[in-house]
Amino acid sequence: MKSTEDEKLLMIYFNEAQQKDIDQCLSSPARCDQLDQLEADMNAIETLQQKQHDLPEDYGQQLWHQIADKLVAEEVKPKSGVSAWLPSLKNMFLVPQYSLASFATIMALVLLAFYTGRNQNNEIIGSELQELLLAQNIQLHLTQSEVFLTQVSNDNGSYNSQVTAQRLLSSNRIFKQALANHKGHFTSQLLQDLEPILLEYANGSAPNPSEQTHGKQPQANWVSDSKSNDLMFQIKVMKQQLAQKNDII
Amino acid sequence: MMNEIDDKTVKNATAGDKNAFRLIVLHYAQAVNRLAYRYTADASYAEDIAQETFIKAFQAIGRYQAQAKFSTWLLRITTNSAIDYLRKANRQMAQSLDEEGAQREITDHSMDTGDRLDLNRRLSDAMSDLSDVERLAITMKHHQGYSIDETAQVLNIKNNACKQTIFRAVQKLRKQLTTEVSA
Repeated sequence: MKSTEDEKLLMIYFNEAQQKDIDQCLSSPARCDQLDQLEADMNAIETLQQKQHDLPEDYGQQLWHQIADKLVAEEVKPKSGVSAWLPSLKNMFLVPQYSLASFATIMALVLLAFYTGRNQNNEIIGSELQELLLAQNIQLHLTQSEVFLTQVSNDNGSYNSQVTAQRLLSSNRIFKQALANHKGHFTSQLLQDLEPILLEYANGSAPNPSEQTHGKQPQANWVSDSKSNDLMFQIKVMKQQLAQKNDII
Repeated sequence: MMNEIDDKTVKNATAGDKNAFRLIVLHYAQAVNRLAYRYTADASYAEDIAQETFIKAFQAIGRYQAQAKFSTWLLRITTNSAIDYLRKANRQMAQSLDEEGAQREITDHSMDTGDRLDLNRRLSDAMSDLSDVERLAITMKHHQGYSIDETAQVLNIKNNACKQTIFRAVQKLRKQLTTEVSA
């Protein structure tokens, strides 16, 4: 039997055939038998599928418990305008693991602005001061990245890793750019190695907690993976170097 | 035929009554999960899709108009949620929707083990072995009663490709039944 004929038969069964195909089919006893067989098979498939995938009787109740909290969140979710971005701005400074780091960043920027303003007429901001500020900011960035990577490896799903990763990725690129004309080859290489990992989380292509609940393993486990351990070690060492000597190597 | 929830509950839910929406969840949870399972052949995916469906329904229920049956409206959301979920879960699906050349051959489950699997299990395995687009297309057409045009439109494929996809899926599933008869 040609598959085109079978396809026409299927379309007759689904009531999607042209009238001439239907007439042609009904004029042939053999085709009618085939249509009967197809109908019987489709009914059998449907019956068997209905038996599959048993759910508990109280499944509705279970599902309600799972989504009830999310629905409350939907109800209070701000729609747009100031109320939409104000909480996220507030959250940026109040998320416990980043509050200190955010404060330190702001202080560093204020100090930089102060020095720049005070000394711009005298033009005495030397390369040494610039390097000092750069070293401190990179150290801060590495601390944030370390906290972030530790957190995603433990992944408790309590914060939005994608947003944090996007922020860290932007910082990483800025520091990389700042180091482009600088002697700090090792630091630059470390930022280079860090970037694809941050990029992965920033794009949301890294696994999220809900995927892990289905038994999928993270693509990069920042605790057990040896390559990741190396990177974490390098971050720690570089942080110490920057903290103790303020020297970008 | 699905047992519809009463109109008053739906009306109360559209007016923002959360308890009425809870009753809707209790009433339709199984149907939504079972449909999601048909689309995905994966219990955990079906669970996620069921949750997403009711959250989307909660967001959109104010726009529900009583011209259509509530179950029809809700199961359409389930269908769209399943398609979105599969696209996210498997980025290759987007490609397979466009390229109907990706025609996986189904495993003949009657031949691959010494133990003879029962028909129910083999059909379940056969459903799992269908490509996402085949499973979506056959379920939409056969179980949900979408037309070929609608199915093709929702899956973003051409009509002929849609027909061939459904035909291929039916062939693969019937193969399992035929094997049972001849065994």
